[in-house]
Formats: sequence, structure tokens, C-alpha cells
Amino acid sequence: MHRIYALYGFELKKILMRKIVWITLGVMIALNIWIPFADLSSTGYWVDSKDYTGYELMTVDRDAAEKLSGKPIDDTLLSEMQESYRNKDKYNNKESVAVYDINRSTGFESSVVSADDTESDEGSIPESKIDLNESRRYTPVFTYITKFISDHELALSVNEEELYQERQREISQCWDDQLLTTDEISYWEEKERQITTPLTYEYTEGWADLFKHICPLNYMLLLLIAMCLSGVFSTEYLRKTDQLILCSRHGKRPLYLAKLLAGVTFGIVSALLLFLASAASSLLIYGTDGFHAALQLALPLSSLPIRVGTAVLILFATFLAVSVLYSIVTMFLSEWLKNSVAVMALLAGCMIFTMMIDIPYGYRMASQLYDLLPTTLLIEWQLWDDRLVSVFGTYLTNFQAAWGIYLAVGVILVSAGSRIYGK
Amino acid sequence: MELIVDRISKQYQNKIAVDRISLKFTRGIYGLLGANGAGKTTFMRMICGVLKPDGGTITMDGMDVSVEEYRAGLGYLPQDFGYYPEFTGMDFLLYMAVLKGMTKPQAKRRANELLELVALTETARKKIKTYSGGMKQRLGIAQALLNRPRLLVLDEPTAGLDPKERVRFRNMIQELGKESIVLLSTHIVSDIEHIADRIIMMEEGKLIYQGKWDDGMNLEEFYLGTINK
Repeated sequence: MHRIYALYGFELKKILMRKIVWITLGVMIALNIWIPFADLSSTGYWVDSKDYTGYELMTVDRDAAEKLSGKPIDDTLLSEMQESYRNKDKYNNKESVAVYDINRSTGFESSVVSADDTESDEGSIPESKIDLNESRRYTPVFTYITKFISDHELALSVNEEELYQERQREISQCWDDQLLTTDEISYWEEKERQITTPLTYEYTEGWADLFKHICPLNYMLLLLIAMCLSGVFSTEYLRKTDQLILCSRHGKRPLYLAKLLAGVTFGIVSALLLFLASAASSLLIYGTDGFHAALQLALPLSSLPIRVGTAVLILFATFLAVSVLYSIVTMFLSEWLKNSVAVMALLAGCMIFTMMIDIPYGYRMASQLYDLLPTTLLIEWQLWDDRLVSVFGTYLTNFQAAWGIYLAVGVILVSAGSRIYGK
Repeated sequence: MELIVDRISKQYQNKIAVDRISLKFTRGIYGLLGANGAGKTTFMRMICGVLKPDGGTITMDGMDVSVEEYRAGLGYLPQDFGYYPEFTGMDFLLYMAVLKGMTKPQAKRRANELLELVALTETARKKIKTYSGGMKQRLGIAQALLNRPRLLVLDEPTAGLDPKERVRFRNMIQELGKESIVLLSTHIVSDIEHIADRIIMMEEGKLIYQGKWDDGMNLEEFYLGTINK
């Protein structure tokens, strides 16, 4: 074992001594730090006759959300929110207030939340009297509700019972779309019963931002690993160093394992750095509030009875598992194809393919398998994908099933790679 | 110490690179001669376990070529091989030493000895990408000797060496031949005619001559006479 450890150090050195590794890693980390800021700095909003940057509005909303934290989303809070919005309409204060939130948090098309859509300055209250903090006091709750009630009129009139019924209706619609079986529906109904309503409002934007950025983060990780590990085996052939190492005492199995370990270590550390860069950036902007909040505050259509923090940890663990799989696949291809450019092209091609192609829910089996691919699994909406995998009568969620599948694929590829290397 | 090559063959598609060669090696220096494409490199690669023969066996003191213990006593300098350009000469030797199963202190001591032997002590901390062709070749020789091999296989070892280095290398091989089996392939007949105990000649994958060599004879004439038969 200590031989493998000694070789592992050299193999790690071989990977890290390449300039391309540091350049790519640096660029990826910088991008991940920048992306959450880019959302705020690249957008401007016209609110109450004044121009605001995305960041300015976010800080106002964050303060408002922090004041609302801990309040149950019940009839009382809904009435307060609706009363506040009615008062704004009364002043004919053109309500573009919620535009920013709707765009950012729900993915719904931009829309102006006002009784009438005509632009008019007539009757507007004087600018000096506008208190942005006051006018956006309930915006976080409104934004949350419009994540699953697309009809804004309804959002401004709904009561507690109707609100949770509407959420349930949306979830049932998802179940129908995903062609869930009766057993699967029973499974999720049981999970739903474990979710306590009314939900208690918490500001979860920092963590929710992580869910939002996990998809680009995942693609960056794949590109990084493809660029840095595609030469682990192939360059030995290319540089003709293979003949030196293969005839040495530990040049076969111990070296193969050392190379794999070094590659996987690089993959895991890269994933860790990218995730931390993204998390640090999001949490620096939005704060760390809401770690212990119910997941439904961040992802209203999820039926998992877990905390936001637990979901983040699951996401993080899955991201690390994906990094291990990417590393193994890349090194297997490097050994098999013996050409690092071909490996990079193949992996980038697969990434682009999965970015562009989606299999509709109607083809249940194909669609479910396709969505378990590492490039399609780490996408925000997968966190409320309710299709289950039955293993000997036990139901596994898509994330649980993916871990099992990735482990099996990893073991198969390591064995196959070992055979190719041995030849 | 005995290396037995028993009817080994290797075929690449339609070409037979090595055709049922059987040889027995004991301590001493063996000069391997043959024209380009005669199968020398394939033969040596099979002896080193880099290539698997299609048929036949290779054993040293009863150990098959595929086992770790066989490779533990092997030193190989390929004809055309690469380095890790970002490694220093010392890094490269330490890496090869670990691959050969040496401990870290042993590796450091031996690497320093060999760097001195091949006159690379001054440049040991420089990256290999800054080395000249001759320096790289000397580093290759050093790595082959790291584990004090019982079987040393050298494929065109003097390529890139200047005349002074070639003489020093020849003397070094002569010393090694007293303790080990040295199989040396070259195009330069003068490299082996004064040091080889036995000569092996190959043509089109076949063994065409093997025997003791009398230092008084002209090897070049003998070689040309043999392959033209």
C-alpha cells in the first residue's frame, strides 16, 4: 500500500505540474465566484419612478425577508401582504415591484403585477414620499407564493387553505406529468403528510442560489476534469514513457491504482473548490439564513420532508459523487482511446448533447434513465423530480438511485480500464 | 542466473516480427545485431514484459516475465522513449526508483550515485525539457541502472552520445556484464565488438546466428557476410 501511496504523490505531481490545469482551474473558480454577482450587476429595474440595480433591490428585499423570517405563512401573513399590495394599487403606483423577484426566483415570464398594465405617471405619489423598504415589505412572501401560483390576481386574494391546496394541485399535476404509478404517489403522499403546514417563512435565497447554479457548476466541473485528466494515461503512450513504466516492478497494477487515485483526488478537490467558490459567493451576497428552514421554502414543489441544509448537503455529496464518476470516465477513456484530444471532444460532445436534448416524461423509462445521467441529474428541477426507482420493493429517489448507479458504473470502468492497461 | 527464451513469436497483422526464437542467457554481455525491421526491438520488448508474446515463454531463474519479481530485477533502456518535461532529472530518477520498488532513502542515494556516474549532478535540479539529447540519453541510462538489474536490456544505448561518453558507457557496461545479463542492441558494430561475449544476429524475425565472439575477428565483416548469405 505504501508503494501506491509513494506513486500517488508522483502521479498527483504529474497532473498538477501542467500549466493548463492551473489556468483552467483559476478561470473556473473565478467564473463561479462571478456568476452570482453577475445576476445582480447586469440587471437594472425601474421601480416607483426610480432606477435601481439588481443589487440594490436585492438588499431591500433581503432586509424585508429577514423581518418576515419566523412568521407562519398563514391567513394573517397573507392578509397583510395582500393589504400592502392593495394599498400600492390604490396609489396607482405602477407596480413593477415584483418583476425582479419573479424573474429571478420563479422562472416565470416577466410580468408586471398591477391591476392594469398601462404605463402612466398620472396619480403617482411624489418620489419623495416613496419608501422603497415599505413598498417592498411583503415582496418576499409574494415572490414565494408566485413560485407556484402563476396567476398573480389569485396570489393577491388567496387564503391559507387555498394556498396549500394550490401547491398540492401543482404537485399532483407534476405527478401526472411524470406518469407516477399509484405506489409512487402513495410514497410521496406519505412524505407530504410529514411536511407541517402552514410553513414558517425563512429567507433561503443564499442556499436557493446554490440550487440554481448547480447546473453550470456541473458543466464547468466536467470541462475542467476532461481538460486536466484526459492525458493521465494517454500521454504515457504519446510520450513513449509507457515502455519504461510497464517494465518496472510496480508499473502495472500499483501504478494503475495510483494514477486512478490521483485523478479521483484531483476531481474531488476540484469539485470542492468550485462548489465552495460558488457557495461563498452566493452566501456572501444573500447571507446564510434559512439553512434550517423547510426545503419547501426554497423549492415549493419538492415533497421531500427535509431541511434546506440537508438538501444542500445531499446536493454537495452528489456533486462530489459526480466528480468521482467524471474522473473515472475521463481516465478510462484516456486509457482506452490513448488520445487526450479525442477524450475531451467526446466528453464535451456528450455535455452539449445532454444540454440540447431532453426526453419527454411520456417515455417514462427512457426519460428517467436519461435524467439519471450526471449531466442531467444536477439541475435545479431534479430536486422535485418525483419518479422513483424500485429496488427489491424499496423505493429510491433519483439521487439515491444515481449514487448506486454511479458506484456500479465506476467499478465496471475501473475493472475494464485495468484489463486494458494490463494488456 | 539464467534467462530462458523458449520459442517466442510475435506477429503484427501479416508480418511476423519474431519467429520462434529460443535462447539461453547467462551472466555476460550479448550483442544483438540486425538490420532495421529485423525484429530486435520487438524481441527486447517481449523480454522486458512490455509486449506479450503470441507464443512461447520467457523465464528468469524460473520466474515468468509477467510476474512482479521478474521485473524487479530488470533494467530497460528503450530505443525511443520519452520523459516528463516538467520533472527535474532528480524527480525523474526518484519516480523511476519508486516504480522499481526502492525505498525513498535508497532511491535518493542511488539517484545521486547515478547522476554522478552519467555526469548530470550539476543539472539534476533542472527540468528535463531543458536537457540536450545526449543528456536525456544519459538520464535514460541512469534510470535503467537504478535497481542494480540482474537483467539489463539496452536498445541503441549510445544514440546521441558523443565519442567520449560512448567510451565511458562502454566501460560501464563491461563492468555490469561481470555481474548481470546485459543484452545490447545497436547499429554501431564497434560499440559491441570489443565488449560482447556473445553475438546474436536477427533477420526478418528469425535468429540467424548466435555464438561466442572472438575479439580478434572483424565483427562488421562477419555481420555483413552473415546477413547477405
